[in-house]
Amino acid sequence: MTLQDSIHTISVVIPVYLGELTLGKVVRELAQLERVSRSGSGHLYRVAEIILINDCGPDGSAEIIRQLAEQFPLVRPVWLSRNFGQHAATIAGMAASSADWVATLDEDGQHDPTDISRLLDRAVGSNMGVVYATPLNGGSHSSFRNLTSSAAKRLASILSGSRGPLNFSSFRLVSGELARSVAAYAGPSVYLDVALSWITQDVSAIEVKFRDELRHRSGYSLGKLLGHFWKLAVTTGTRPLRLVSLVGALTGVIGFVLAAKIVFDRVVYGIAAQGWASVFVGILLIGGAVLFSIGIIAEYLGIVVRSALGQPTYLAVRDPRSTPRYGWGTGEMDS
Amino acid sequence: MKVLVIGHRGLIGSAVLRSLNLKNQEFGYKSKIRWEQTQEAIIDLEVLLSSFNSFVGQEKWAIIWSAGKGHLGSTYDEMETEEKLFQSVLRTVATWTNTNGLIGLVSSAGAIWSASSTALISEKSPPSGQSPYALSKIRQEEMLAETCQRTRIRGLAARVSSVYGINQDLTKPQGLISRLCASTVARRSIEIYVPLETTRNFIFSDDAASMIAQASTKILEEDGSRGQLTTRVICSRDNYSIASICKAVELVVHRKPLVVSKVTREAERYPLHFNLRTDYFAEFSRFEATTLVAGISTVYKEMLSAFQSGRFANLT
Repeated sequence: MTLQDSIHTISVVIPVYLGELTLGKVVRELAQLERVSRSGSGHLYRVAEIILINDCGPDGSAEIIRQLAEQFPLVRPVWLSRNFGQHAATIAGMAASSADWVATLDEDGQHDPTDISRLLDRAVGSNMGVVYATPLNGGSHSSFRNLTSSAAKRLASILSGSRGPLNFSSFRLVSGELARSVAAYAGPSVYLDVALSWITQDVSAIEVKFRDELRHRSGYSLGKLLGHFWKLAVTTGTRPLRLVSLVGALTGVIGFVLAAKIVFDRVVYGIAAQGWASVFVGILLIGGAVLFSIGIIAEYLGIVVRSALGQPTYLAVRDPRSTPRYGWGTGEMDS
Repeated sequence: MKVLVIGHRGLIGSAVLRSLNLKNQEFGYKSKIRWEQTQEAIIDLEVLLSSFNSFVGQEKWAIIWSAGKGHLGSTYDEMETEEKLFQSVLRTVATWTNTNGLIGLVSSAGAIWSASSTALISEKSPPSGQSPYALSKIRQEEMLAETCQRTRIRGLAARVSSVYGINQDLTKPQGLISRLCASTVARRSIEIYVPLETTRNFIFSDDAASMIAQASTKILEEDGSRGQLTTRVICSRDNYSIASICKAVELVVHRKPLVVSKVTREAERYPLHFNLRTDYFAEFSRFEATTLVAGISTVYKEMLSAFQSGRFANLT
């Protein structure tokens, strides 16, 4: 087999929450990509499996998944015991995947399956481990939601101190090796894209046109979005904790300096009010010591948090030259 | 290429079948082999081989032998039975008119080189194992080499490092990763009888199978390999210590495996550091697609699902 005729296999992962009306269309479009196609840059690819994760939504998605699994041999359902949220469902799908690449799509049809080939072209062309598709047309959500979403991502970027692109989107193409590794270690409250950034810096994004959602109701209420943001802020790392320890150390030092000054003033110039100096020195010293101690505790907590979230010390992978990133797909032509 | 895997229910056999199944019309395994009784098993194998022979016709074929209950601690008697069965297969295949095929023999690299003291072991290292299992496997390879030379059939001796994955037979004293995962699922302690610094080469079953399939396909393409026995080490790039495997399990499971370290005199029989490598890395590296954590996670999830569905007691 040569590099030219190697075929990239793709596992498509779709977490399904509210998919009763839209999922069928998405899967039918994906099924068209089962036969080998050529991408814009000439890479051969095919969809090897469609993994539908039932995230126990309130509508009749489960029945649709059952029907689709019967209709298309390509479809593999994964049943979750209750609603765990989009990221947990996506991670469950990634863990069940087996192809060279894992593409994650929403169930609402706003991600066009044919754009997967463009993501693949970017991934292979620039040897990327993760490629996000960001909406060219700002997505189909309200401008308020788009604004808050981008503000949240910017804040997360500041908190995490990451310099990479923060064009997170639920439409992504991840190398199978990375996706399955992430699924293996990511802890329960991890923001998936942050977990990906722990093990790869080869992240890129392209702009694609998002289609209008076929459904009208978003699976995300304001409360859920806030929860989502909180998860992002908390998992982006230990920067907030570092901030606490920094403030602690700083106020501690200032407290000691001020206390020293008051003592100096009291001894040299004398202070009129009886007891003022001793009370203030006491407060400053104790306050400084308390904040400094909290800072130290925050440092320890940071270490625990990192390991609780499942951040690995390192991840050993294959030589990238022999992976699909450099063009080597493992699929072969049906003879 | 038509493929017959003997031992297709085992850890490696089932994975080889999965990796080949994608591109080959598969040979149906209708008959069951009565492994418990040697004479009956020989008859069953003959029946199986003759139906495979007619299934093959004039096409290229490959038979992968990954059967046998043998393990590092097997006795001479147990190994003798296995040897007899393999010999019966060789004898039958030697009579075939279509010799454009390959017989692959899967064995444990850890056993074959168990007494090697060199830092790095590869295809070129001479076998050193003294256990009944190792001596028997070396004899089987010799028998295979002899058959190949006589019949111009191609041979592959696949010496595989420590394989882990789903379908591991835990009745044999092996499968560290499966046992570690099982112990975390059941919240039981696990006793480890070798020092935790012991290094071994672990490879995920599907990756090992893809490499065996790749080696078989490649050898079958070459005319120069007719009548030859080719040796390949099937291993992963990295060697890991038992301690780092425990750490990786903890990372996946988010719970510490309860390891009781009990180093016994018996452990001294096994080499402390066993660093394997293959000289055909360029050919194989593409197939090492499973990172250690991803592989462990697969095993753990299988254990968990067995536990949930009540199959766990049968597994362990």
